[in-house]
Order: sequence, then C-alpha cells, then structure tokens
Amino acid sequence: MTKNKKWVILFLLPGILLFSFIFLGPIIVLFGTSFTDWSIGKEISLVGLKNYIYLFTEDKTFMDSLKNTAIWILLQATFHVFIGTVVAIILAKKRWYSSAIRTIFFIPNVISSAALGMLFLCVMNPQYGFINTLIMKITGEGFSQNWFMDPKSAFSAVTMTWLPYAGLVTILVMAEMSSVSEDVYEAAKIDGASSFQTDIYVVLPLMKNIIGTSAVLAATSMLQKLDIIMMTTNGGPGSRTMNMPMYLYKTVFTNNNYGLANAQGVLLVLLGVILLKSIRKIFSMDAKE
Amino acid sequence: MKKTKVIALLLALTMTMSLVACKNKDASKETGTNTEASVDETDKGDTPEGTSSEPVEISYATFMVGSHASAAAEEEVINAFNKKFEGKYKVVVEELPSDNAFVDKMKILASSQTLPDVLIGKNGIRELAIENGQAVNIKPFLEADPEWMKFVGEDAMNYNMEDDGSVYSISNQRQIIGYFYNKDMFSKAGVTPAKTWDEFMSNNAKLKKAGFTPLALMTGENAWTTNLWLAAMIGTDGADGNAFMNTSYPANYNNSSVIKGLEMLKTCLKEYTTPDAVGALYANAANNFEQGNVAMIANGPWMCPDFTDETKSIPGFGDQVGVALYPEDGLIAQFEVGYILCTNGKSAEEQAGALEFLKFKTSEYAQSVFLEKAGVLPLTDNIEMSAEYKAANPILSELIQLSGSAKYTFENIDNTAFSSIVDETAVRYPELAYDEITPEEFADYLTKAAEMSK
Amino acid sequence: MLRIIRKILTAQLLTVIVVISIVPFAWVLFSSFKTNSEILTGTLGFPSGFRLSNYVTAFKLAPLITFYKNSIVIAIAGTVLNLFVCTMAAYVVVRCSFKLKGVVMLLFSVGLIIPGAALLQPLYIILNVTNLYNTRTGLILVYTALGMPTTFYVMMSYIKTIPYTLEEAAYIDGSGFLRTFVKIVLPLTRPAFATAGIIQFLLCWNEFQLALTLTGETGKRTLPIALYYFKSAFASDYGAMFAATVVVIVPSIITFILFQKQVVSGLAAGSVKG
Repeated sequence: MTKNKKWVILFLLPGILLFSFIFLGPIIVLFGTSFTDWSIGKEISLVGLKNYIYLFTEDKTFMDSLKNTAIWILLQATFHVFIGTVVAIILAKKRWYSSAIRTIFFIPNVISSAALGMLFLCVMNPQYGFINTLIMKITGEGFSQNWFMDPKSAFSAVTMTWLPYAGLVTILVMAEMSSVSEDVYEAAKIDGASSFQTDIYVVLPLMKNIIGTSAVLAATSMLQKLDIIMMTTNGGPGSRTMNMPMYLYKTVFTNNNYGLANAQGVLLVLLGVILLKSIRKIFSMDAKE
Repeated sequence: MKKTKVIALLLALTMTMSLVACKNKDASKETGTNTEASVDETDKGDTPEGTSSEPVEISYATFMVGSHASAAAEEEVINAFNKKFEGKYKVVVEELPSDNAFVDKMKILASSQTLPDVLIGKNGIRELAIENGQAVNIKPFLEADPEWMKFVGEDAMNYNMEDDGSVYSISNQRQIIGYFYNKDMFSKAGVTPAKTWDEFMSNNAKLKKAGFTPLALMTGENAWTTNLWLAAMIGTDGADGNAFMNTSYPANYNNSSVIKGLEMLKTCLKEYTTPDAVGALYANAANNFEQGNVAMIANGPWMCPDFTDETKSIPGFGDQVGVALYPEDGLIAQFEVGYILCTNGKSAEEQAGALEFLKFKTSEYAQSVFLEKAGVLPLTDNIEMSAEYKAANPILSELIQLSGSAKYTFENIDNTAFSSIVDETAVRYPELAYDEITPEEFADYLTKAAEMSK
Repeated sequence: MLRIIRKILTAQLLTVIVVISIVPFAWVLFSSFKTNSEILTGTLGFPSGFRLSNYVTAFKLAPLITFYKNSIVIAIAGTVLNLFVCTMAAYVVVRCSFKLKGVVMLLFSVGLIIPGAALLQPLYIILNVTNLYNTRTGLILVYTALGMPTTFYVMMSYIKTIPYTLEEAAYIDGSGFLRTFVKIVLPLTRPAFATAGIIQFLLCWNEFQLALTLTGETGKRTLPIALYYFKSAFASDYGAMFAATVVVIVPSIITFILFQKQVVSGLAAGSVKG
C-alpha cells in the first residue's frame, strides 16, 4: 500500500492545514503561557510550575471542578451512552412510531442552550415549577424542593439537564446499524435465535466501533460543557457544580488571570488525551481489521 | 496511472479553488452590504456633496440593544450624532446583546489592544484599557470645554478621578437606589418604612404574620436585589460600615459590618422571602413584586416604568408602589463608570471624532433623551426635569426628594468590588441559606475572591 | 413471560424518553405565546391565547432576518467543507497504513479536548491578522475545524464496517484510488454522512461565543446571537426570547428530518455488506 503515499498525504492535507490554521496557534499559546504569570495589559513573567502547584495544593475550587468533571465524564461515557444505545436498538425494529420517537428524542439537542437554561430554571423552579407541581399532584402534599440550589440536590439536578438526552447517541448507533445486512438477521433466525438474542449477541458486537465513538463524544462533551451550568447554578452552591471548563472561563473572564487559566487548560487537554486513549483501548478501536 | 494523476491535480485544484472562491464570495458580499448601507444613508436625506470625502469612522460598542431599557434612547442619540456630523464623522456600532457578552468581548479586545474608540468601561474594562495603554486621560479636554463640563459636573468628574488626578471615563448616569414597597400590604400589616434595622426585621415578621411575603430577593445572576440590601446593611452600620461601602476594591471583607449584614440577610433568605429566591433571576424577583406577591424590592428608579406597564405589573399597580430610603436613612448614591475613550495611537481625525462623539454622548441633549426615554438620571441638576415629567413620574420625583434627607450615602457592591466578588456572593448565598457556611466563612470567601482578582 | 416483561419495559422506557424530550419542546413552543409573567410563574400550561405579539417583538428587536441569511450560508458551507475534509482523512486513516497515524488521529481530535475559552483570544488574533475577522469565511473555517473530530470519528467508525472486499474488487478491475473512493466508498457512507452532517450543521447553527467574538458587525452575525437581544440586566423579554428560539430551532428540526431519511433509506436498502 505504500504506493498510495501521495494519496494519503493529499487526503490528509486539508485537515492538517485547517488544524494548523485554527488550532496550532492556540495550543502553543495555551502550553507556553501556562508557565507564566500573565494578565491583560501587564508584563508576562515566567514562573515555572507555580500555576500548576497552586492549582493542586491551594485551589479547592479547582479540585472540586476536577472531581465534578471526572464524575460527569464517567456518567456520560456509561449511562448516557447506554440509554442512547438501548433506544437505538429498540427503534431499529421498524414500527409505526419509530421515526417519530427518533425525531422527538433528538429535539432537545437542537434547542440552543440560552433557551434550554431558562427552560430548566422554569421547569425546576421551587415555587411554580413543573416538577414540584407534579410531585405535589401525585402525593397530594406540599412540596418545595429548590433543585438547583439545595446543596444536596444541585449536582444531580444539573446532571439531569443532559444525562438522559442521548438522542445523538441514538442516531449515531442507528446510522451504523444500517450497515448490518439482512443476511445477518436471517442467519441468526435460522440458528433459532430470538430477536432479543440477535440484538445482544449478534448486532451489539458489530456496533462496538460506534459505541466507542459515542463514548468518546459523550465523555469529551463534558470537557466543553459550560452554558447550561452557567445559566442554572453558576457553579454553585459553593463549588458543588463547578466543572473545569467553567472554572477556566471564570478565571479568564472574571479574574483576568490568563496564566492560571491556561494551566487549567493544559490539564484539561491532558485529561482529554488520557480519556481518548483509554476509551479507544477499552473498545479496542485501534485494532486493525 | 496518468488518469489518476490528472484527477489528483484536479482535486487539489478544486480544493484551492473552493477556498479562494469562498473568499471571493465573501468579498463580493461585503461590497454588497456596503451598497445596502449606502442606500440606507441616501434614504435619510441629502446626498451628493457629502460623498466627495469619506467620513471618518468612529467605532463604538454597546450593550444597549434589543430589550435593554435604554435601547431606544441609545439609538436616537447615535442617529442624531450621525445626522449632525453627516459627511464628517460616522459612528460604526458593534451591538453586543446582554451585559455579559459585552464585558467578555471587550476583555478579549482589551488583551489585544483593539478596543473600539468609545465604549462603556464598566466591570473593570476601564482599568484594563488604562493598563493596556489605549485609554486617554479626558481631564484636559474637560477643562478646555466649560460648556461640556457644565453638564458633566464636578461630582461626576471627581467620582471617576484616579489618584494621580487623571480622569479616564465620563459617567453616563447618576444612580440613586432605595427600595420600593407595596403600600397596600404595608397598611394591612400596619407597618411603615422602617427607620432602624431592628424595626425592619420586626416589620418583616409583621408582614409575614399578615400573610405577605416581605422581600423579593434573588441570588442568581449577580444577586442584584440581595446585594443591594447587603450594601445598605453595611453602609448604614456606623461610620466604619459607611466608609467600607465607599471604598473602591476593598481587600478584606472580614469586618463586623459585613458579618452583621450577612447575619441579617441569612434570616431574610430563610424566613422572609419567596421559596424560589435562592437561585432566582432578577426577572423572578421583579415579577414577584410586580404581580403583587411580595411587599418590598430593592432596586433603582429605572424600574418605575414597569409598574404601569400591564404586560409586567397587575393593573393599577403603579398607585400601590411607594419608595423609601433604607433604614437609618441610607441611600445608594453613585455614578456609573461611564464612557471611556480608547484612541491612543489612532489617527488624529479619529481621535478628534471620537472625542466629539464622547462629548455628544454625555451632552445636555443626550442626557435629556436618556432621562425622557429610559428614566436614566442626569449627572447634574443643570438638566432640569420639567413639571410634566415630574407629574408623569411621581415615584421618581419622590425618590429624588427623599434623597435630600439621606443620612448615609454609599455605593453598591457592583460598583466598589471586583466582578469576582459579585460572582462569589452569588454562589455563596445558597450555602448561607442552607446553613452550610457561617457569615464569617462567607466573608472569608469574599476576601479570597478579592485576592484572586487581577 | 420474559417477552411480556421485556415489552412492558420497552414501552416504559420509550414513554419516559418521549416525555422528557417533549416537555422542553412543548415548553418552548407554549412560552413563545405567553407573557413574561406567565412564563415566570406558569407551570406547563397551555398559553391563554395564541398571541403572536412575541414573534412580532422578536423580529422587531433583533435583526433576525440578517442573522438567518448568515446562518444559512455559514451552516451549509461549514457542513459541506467539514464533511469533505473529514471523510477523506477518515478514509485514509482506516484503509491505509502509514507512519504517524497516531499523531494524525490526535490532530483531528484536538477540537474535542481543547477548552473553548482558551480558543477565543488566540483565534481572535489569528483572524484579525489574516483579515478574516468579521467575515463569514472566518466563521466557516473555524466551525469546519471545530467539528473535525466528531465527523472524523463518525466517518472512521462507519468506514470500518464497510468490507474491504468491495474496494479490492474495484482495484482488480483497474480502478484507481480516487475513483474507488468516489465511486465505491462514498455512496456506501451515506448514512454516516447524514448523521455527521446533522451534528455539524447543529454546531454551526447553534454556536454563540465564537460567533460573537469573531464578528464585529450585525451584518456578519448568526442566529444564536439573536437570543441574547432579549436578555438584558433589568429588562429581559423571555416571551420574545422563546419566540426567537422557535424561529431558530424549526430549521434544525427540518434538517434533521431530511437528513434522517437518508439513514432510514440506508436501513431499508439492506445494503451490500455481510
């Protein structure tokens, strides 16, 4: 296949050019300035590992954000992907409702976060919100839970704003299921497998790649998640719902501390690389065909 | 084999072509919008002679767009400037909807020294512009133009004066902030606006007993209404507390006035407000007051037009609203940071034009428009309110009258503190309300946040 | 017995999914007909009437039509360019063996792991220097790059499921590399194309922060910015905001339905693989 070298280069070239244009500069700035003391308008000075040491030894908010990010990544990579995959397998059986449900399940993904944040605030409002009203109707008793602000429920409430909305995983898996030939189902049927058994033992293993991909996308989305948190809890109470991207954002825009923010950014990138490598390993996505 | 080579070449060609085409398309579109813009201009009035020399463009960024209360006034003033100086200057506006978006983008521009010529320098933008060398000291220009100075006024100028005597911003408004109350509820509960904080707390208890929720608090966003009460509690706590609330960027929040205030607020958050107050948005608090569900809200006079707006308030609500000073005759009285001039290093024409625009934006005319259309208080008494205006805005007039008898005046936290402090209060109030932290710990967190801010 | 339990569970799961997904949509739709006060105090009730005033306000306060045009141009160009760049790259990464494959994969994954806040300032400077600040081209390039990882991963995963025998046969018939890619591989990747296309379209359609930072004038901006015209410190108009939201999400839903037909027809065709 070496004769294809020029094709390899040609096919990769646009992507690599785009990478160099858009990402290379920011990455260099990110890594370089993470070892400096830098804020807008002031002199840059090299401070070595000071920013990193500060983050790990003195900055409790950062440690909280690290912990929260880790938990959310784990939940996304497992539970979120699981829901999406199960729904995909169910909907792949063509029934009258399949395409309708697939569209409905995807709709939350198309609503922009400005509206989504407001919506969740309203739905979970402790005084008028839909959730509390529903609970009161069912139990017949007074009920007032401040979901986003009670330190006991804040984390779960924020998690619920994205965890169940796995429409993206569903369409990813469904697209890949379309590559499974009818023959596979026929063969399984002839072997006497029930449709459930076929799904579990035959189809699911074929979906390994796309489930791995979904896990990558779902997990890394937690390295970017920001707007919804900002609009609902603003990272509070205290730092109970603070995550890394949001803390980074605040360090830049509220504290103007670019050096420290970029040290956080480097750690975020490293976390991302580890994440990518381990998910690819778990789903053995790098294995040759 | 040859065939593939040709195809490869073609592919590479189309790729570069598509990129180039993209650019061309865009360029043509740019000219497209330009012609549209010029058509707009010609629509406005006389054409030919102005086009001989291109007008100098002045860049200006604003958040007063969309649903912002001052959007109409802002548009009118900018249009008036462009009309007055047609052919000579033209203001090019960057609209930045929502205050946060404005501040964030301006910080990015500040870090690469590309701030527009004129902009509002609130939330620390002015300080960044001074540090990055773009901001111009406006003092000499003020001194050279007595007519302008007359409407800016000594007070507003001194408010924005640095330690070295230079002035980097011209305020855009004077603010006096007390609180509004529901007269009906007050009379039913048998209370009058409190004169002391003890009376305030006992009023709260009476209101609650009479079946009313006393306070419209909110701790989401920038915890605005809650922080106003906190500022009032601190600012009226003797000479020390008052001095603290008149200090810019205090480094230490661990003092008895702050802690006393937080103690009181904690009780208010737990006992005397709506169930949704913790975490609520400004809109929730305002709506609770305007729908007649809550007895008091701390806020400035720009809220007055809402009381007679039936899409926001219950019918007839305007007559039920009273306005009062805070207990101990306290009042938040301050100037906004206002407009900064960032023309250092720009062309002489642009500098002159930007200065002209700044003068226009803070002139008698502009201040009158903002008063009429947006309820923004002018900087000096040199701009008189007509009797009609006063009659049409009784609550505002009453507040101005009351302001004369204030014993303590002070600023609010948004004005004296780094934005990190405001942000910190918003995430700590829930912890305070749920007994996770004590007022002392709250104050410690604020001190830490002050340290972190650069 | 087991079958019945499974059926009940399935039905329950689908019901929950439908409810949690439809509530947000219904909320947005209903709210677009409500007043501010109804939104702030209402539960999931029907609006008291089908007032269109919020829609009128939305179009009056925000330059929705200008933004619409820009969004359409940017989303389409950004999606096409992105699919073009990433499909080629994904294909050679899966099918060819070459050195530095790991590095290439990392380069294409960067968009997933680099924090958005760290991109803003450097990107602003880069676009400023290259005269792409405040242009649609600038935004198109940025979005194309930002969506690279997702499309790349989706395409890679799908191409792996295509049996190599098909391409092999083409090569034996004397077809060249490019011809094989265009004639054999591309048609087979249609479902993945559709899926990746939807995701990329939504990215271009909904991204706010970069759109605001990298453009300076109203004539160059995109739809998500419009939603913030209704959120200001003391005068948020949530009714108009939700009306604008409806206006923004309708094209997304239509795009989704159109693209999804591709996926479904892929399913129906049974395809060629085994």
